[in-house]
Amino acid sequence: MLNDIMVILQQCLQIDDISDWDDATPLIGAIAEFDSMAVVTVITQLEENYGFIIDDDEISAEVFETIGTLTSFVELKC
Amino acid sequence: MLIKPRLFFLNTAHGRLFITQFVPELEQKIRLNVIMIPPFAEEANKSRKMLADFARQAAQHHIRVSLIDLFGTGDSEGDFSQASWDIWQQNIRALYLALQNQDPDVAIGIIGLRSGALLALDCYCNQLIAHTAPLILLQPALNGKQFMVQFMRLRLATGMINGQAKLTMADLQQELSNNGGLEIAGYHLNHELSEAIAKLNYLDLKQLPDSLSLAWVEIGQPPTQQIKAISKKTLVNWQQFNDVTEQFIVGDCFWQTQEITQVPELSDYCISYLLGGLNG
Repeated sequence: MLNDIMVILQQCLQIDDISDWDDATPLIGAIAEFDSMAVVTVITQLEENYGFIIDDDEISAEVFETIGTLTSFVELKC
Repeated sequence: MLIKPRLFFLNTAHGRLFITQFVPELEQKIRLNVIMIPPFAEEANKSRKMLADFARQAAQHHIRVSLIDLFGTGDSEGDFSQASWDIWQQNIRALYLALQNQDPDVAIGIIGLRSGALLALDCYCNQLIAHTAPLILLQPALNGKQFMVQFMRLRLATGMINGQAKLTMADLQQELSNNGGLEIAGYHLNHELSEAIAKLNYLDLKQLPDSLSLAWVEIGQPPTQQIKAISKKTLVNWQQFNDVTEQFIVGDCFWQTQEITQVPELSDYCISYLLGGLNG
């Protein structure tokens, strides 16, 4: 799951080298490419890839704090 | 050779429409006119390069592509805050009639990307344009309500990143309704436009208009490897009565990626579909 999430993030953010990414890598405020359009793109990709609907009230800065918190969120939804 | 676009304004009842036309070198040998309908707001900016590249390539195959800036977008007259779905439909019709007038014997195809596909299909279903030429729906956003929710999420995401007080979708809906509009990612979305889009859902359409044939194209990267399941449900219905082709192309989602990207395979596919429709 962690790997799949990293691939989705890599594609949405168009970052070439993710060799130093792990579950502790911070997202919001840390990766310059992670703007509002990127957040929406990631949410849409997750919904389309995993077939669940993310309620807008579930979208919070805590979910997007690190790759690990985002992965846990997706695992809970699946 | 590099084909330079012909830029002009088309006078319409709703002001001057800016058209970027990519014209084949031998204009008298044009096989097909194509109206290209761009997507919504920032997606239109992101995809402009890809659409222009497609149009240039198509021109080399004797296809004249007219890229339209809808009312209140790009270089056309009007302000986005004043745009309406009805005006956009009339924009498509105005360009369609102008092309028909210019080349009565040349068929007119339409390509719509995302919400542009919704607009194209809505124009066909409301008989604003004839069903005589091929239609391509690119990554169509045919569920208007879902599309508006995705657009409004941009505002929620901006608030989240900036650490502002948490807003909900209900707060945004209320602001939209009370104030008649809402500022989202630099675009003033008006209530009327939002309502008009939200009430459309062509995913639920059971049968296309008679004689309308189309290609439904989706683009994505692994782990996505095929047309979405939800799209499939609609396609199965349409394929019972109409000639409907589906195609998945591996590539970047160029209308939303961070950097401007292109999918050359998409241009190849579209040109081949458009010309195939003429031969068939």
